Amino acid sequence: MILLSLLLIPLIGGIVAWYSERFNPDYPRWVALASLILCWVPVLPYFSAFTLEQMPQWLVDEPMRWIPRLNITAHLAMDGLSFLLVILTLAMGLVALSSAWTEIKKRTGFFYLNLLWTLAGVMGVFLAMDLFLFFVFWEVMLVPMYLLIAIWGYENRQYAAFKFFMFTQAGGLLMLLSLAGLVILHYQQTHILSFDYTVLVQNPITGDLAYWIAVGFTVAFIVKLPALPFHSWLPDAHTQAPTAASVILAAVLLKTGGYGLIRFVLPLFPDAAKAIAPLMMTIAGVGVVYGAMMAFVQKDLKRLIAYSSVSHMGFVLLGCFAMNIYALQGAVMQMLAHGISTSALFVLVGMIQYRFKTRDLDKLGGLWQQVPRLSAIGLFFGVASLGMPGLGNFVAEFLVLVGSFEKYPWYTVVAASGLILGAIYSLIIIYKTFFGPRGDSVQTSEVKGAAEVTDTSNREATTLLVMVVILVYMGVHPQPFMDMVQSNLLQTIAKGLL
Amino acid sequence: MISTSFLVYLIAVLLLTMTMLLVSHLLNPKTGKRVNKLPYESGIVPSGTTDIRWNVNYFLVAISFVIFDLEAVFLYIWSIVVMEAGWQGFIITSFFIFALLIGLFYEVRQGAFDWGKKQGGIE
Amino acid sequence: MSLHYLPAIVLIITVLLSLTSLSLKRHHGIAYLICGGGLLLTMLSLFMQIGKTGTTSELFVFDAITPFLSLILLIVVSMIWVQLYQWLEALDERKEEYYLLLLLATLGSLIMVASNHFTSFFLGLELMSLSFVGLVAYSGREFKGQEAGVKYLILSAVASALMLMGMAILYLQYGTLSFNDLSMQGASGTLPSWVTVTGIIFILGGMFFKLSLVPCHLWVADLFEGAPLATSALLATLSKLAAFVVLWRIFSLGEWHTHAVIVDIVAAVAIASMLVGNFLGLLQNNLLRLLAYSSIAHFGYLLIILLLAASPTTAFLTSTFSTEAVVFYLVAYLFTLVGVFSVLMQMPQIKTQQDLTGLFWHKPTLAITLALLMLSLAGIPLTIGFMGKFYLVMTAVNHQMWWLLSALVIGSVIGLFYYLRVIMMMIKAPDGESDFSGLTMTTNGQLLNYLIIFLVIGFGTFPAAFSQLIETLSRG
Repeated sequence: MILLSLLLIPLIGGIVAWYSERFNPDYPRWVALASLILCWVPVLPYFSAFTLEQMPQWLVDEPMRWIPRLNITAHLAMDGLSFLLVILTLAMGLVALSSAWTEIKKRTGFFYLNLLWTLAGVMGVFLAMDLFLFFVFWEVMLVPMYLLIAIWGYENRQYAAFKFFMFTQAGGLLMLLSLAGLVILHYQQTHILSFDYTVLVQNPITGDLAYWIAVGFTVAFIVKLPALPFHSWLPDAHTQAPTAASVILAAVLLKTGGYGLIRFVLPLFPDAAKAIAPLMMTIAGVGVVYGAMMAFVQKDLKRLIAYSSVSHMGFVLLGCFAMNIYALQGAVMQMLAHGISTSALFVLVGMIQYRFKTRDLDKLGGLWQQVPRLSAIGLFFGVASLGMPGLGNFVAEFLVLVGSFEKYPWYTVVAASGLILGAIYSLIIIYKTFFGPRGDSVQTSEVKGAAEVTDTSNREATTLLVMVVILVYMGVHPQPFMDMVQSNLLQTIAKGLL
Repeated sequence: MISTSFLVYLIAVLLLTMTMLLVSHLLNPKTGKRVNKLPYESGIVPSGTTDIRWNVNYFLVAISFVIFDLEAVFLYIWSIVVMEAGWQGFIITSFFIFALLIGLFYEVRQGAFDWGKKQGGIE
Repeated sequence: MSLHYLPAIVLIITVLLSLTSLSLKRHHGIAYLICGGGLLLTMLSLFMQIGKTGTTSELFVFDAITPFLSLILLIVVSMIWVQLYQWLEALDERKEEYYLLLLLATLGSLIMVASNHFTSFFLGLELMSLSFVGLVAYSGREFKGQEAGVKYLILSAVASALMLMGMAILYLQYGTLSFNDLSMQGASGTLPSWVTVTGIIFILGGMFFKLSLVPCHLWVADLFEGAPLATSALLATLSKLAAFVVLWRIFSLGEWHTHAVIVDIVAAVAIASMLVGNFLGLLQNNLLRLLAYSSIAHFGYLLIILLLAASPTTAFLTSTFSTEAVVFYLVAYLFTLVGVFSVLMQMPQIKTQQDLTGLFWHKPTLAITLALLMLSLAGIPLTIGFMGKFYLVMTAVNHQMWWLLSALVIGSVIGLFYYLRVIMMMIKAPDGESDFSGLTMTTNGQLLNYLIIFLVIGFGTFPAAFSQLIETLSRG
């Protein structure tokens, strides 16, 4: 019941938050905070797993009956990979809450309901070990996210929310077909009807159809990642979403795509995964370069970061299909590090927008003099984003590149150039925002009265500093994170290597 | 399948009717006269307009007539097999007549048969 | 007379009773109660039959599924009936006859659902269609309603004529009108096979009219818009369910999938319905027209079921799985649709999507109900509509019907566009123009909304019991 309670706490908390708005519009955020903190209680005991010599297959395993007619179970389970991502989700949930704390003033109850339900949905995705259940969470988490963007977003929110929903739903429908195909093919080959991951993974399906089924799953996942041809929803969704939604989107929602690839595509379709690997590596390599190049022509700060996400997630894709333990560990590290660094950047943009009412790079500049603390932290995360050694991002990207060089040297060379391009856009952010001459918006806000613009509050500073600490820790001592997932990942690629 | 004689018959019929139409078309005077456009009323010159509004009650009565006509048809069939159908048939037929009776009652109360009144039925 | 005829007899007696009470004294309340009582008793008598062993007579079939489907039909009718009183009170017409026609249409559809013979099928069909003509043209002063009534009269007459022609041809071939004997090559089967195929096409044509599938779909939007709201609801649920059940029965009993031409035609119609229905709905502003187009698409999805027998199977699960899929999908779709209509009946002044702007912030329960129903129509998980679609996809994948499936996927994505637009309108910030002051929530409506949410989300999230029930019924 541990994992179930992990899902139920935010669900119930959301309803309570919504209801509490009747009494006072400030209550919902406190309810949200309380339920998020409460969520940590069930997972805290599993931090001891960091010290284990040998990771067990599952930290927790909770099969439950659901729809016996089709042998669908509500099978929740947590292993090292899920654990890390759940922790990331919970942590970023707190960050999102912190950034929404004062920003959201309208319809607070419904906002926190959606926020908490999105988190519950994402955790469901990370914990579901039944493919049907996984699919349900995968689709359902989109609805509150859609509402978050469509109601509390910026100027063009309806369009952006719409695009986000359509893209991911189209991918989802493809996954539904593939899911049905997978189960039926598995039934044909083994005469076991099951949607359970642990059953399906024992006898991977083979044949031509298996190839197409794998493609269906892969497309559904890389839409969410997002990889190159399907990425266009991301800049819009990120730009229009409120800060908290951007944080969730960047930090955890994108990771569901990478998680899906590692958890399902690689072990369930080892042959097919090998067959599509060159294509995926191409997409990844092009995506890294393309995302970076798109990033440094953007004028909108949020759009810039969104494109940098496309570039960074290209590394995840690269790592996934390199079929190599180092690359896979790198992909997982990249998911964690990117989750933290990018969401921190979004938080910073949110703060800038809140203070200067603009995200336009041309109108910003010279913030250092006015908001030094904010700018200093901004500098840190900008540097993190370009992959500075000693931070989590560097470890991740380095591992991915090392892992994939062995088999795919040319793709790796292309992708490695992404690191240099990454430096360019990161420096653009830093230069145009924090240094240089003062921009129009910065000046006007000064004319109105300097008292209006304040530096980071304690709440904001604490949030960001904690993220700084985690990122540095991941950079200097990444071993525990890697040990956590090593045995899982070895199993994942074991079949593919044969 | 369709027999040869049927085909011959069909072709003959078609030929005959076509010929009649064609010949009458060829022989008729081409000059248009006023009376040509008028409907043929057995030699009597038509008068008045055909846009007559019928009282809606007429249709009600007509449809009631059809209903009871059909009832008679069904009862006729029953009368042939009245002994074989037995009591069960009798009950069913009685129910049938009873249902129609209720319908008739409803119609009467609606004022379907109140000729000449502006507003019929119960209010 | 076995117990199986009891529901129909109860309905007939209710009709006669309400006719008598109408002739004696006109009173809206009495008519409402008689109708409701009759429906309740019919439901009870149907409920008694569920799980009992079935029989098949010459004219009717009472297997395990039939009473269940009839019960679903009656639940749907009752859900509409609940709101009828309020809705009719607002109508400036004589109110009592509506119940009469409603009961007759229900009776007709019950006969159709249980029919096992072309005569019983045709009688049921005509009883239903003729009652519907009255229901469609009920408000005599509205021009659009009258137009819709005339359209429906003429088109259903054409459809009936086509079907009669088809039945005549099949009779010529098989020498019987019973569905059971359709598959057997009768002694009189001297006609070439194209004649049989022509007969089948005639029948299918008539059925496609009733189901408003693509080449015969043009009437449906005008009718939904023009007809009184409750009638549209009945038309979308009652008549379509009955027609589909009969079509399904004839198709499988007659083994029509053995004719390659018929399979091609049905596949083409299915694909065309999915795509055209969804495309027409795309930019539709009027909510009722939108529902009409969405119903075209949904019955397009359902047509996949008819073709299952034509393609190779992998003996997956049990042979009854496709039956379960039909029943599940039908039930899911009907509950969702009747939910949408009852929400619309609670807000009669809302006609277009613009009218919905900001509804969520004024009447949350209403808006949430409608939003969930839209998600259910779109097939988003945790709604009953998704479970229906899942069953459908499972069967179709099992029979490897990739073409139809890809049309289904494309259609669903397009469909998502307009279902989502409705939700988007509701959550938009109210712009001051929208006026919901006229919306009064009745306890009746409120309770109904909770019931709908319960059905759509409850059965969508925990479908185990329901799927088990359907499985037992399909086996039985």
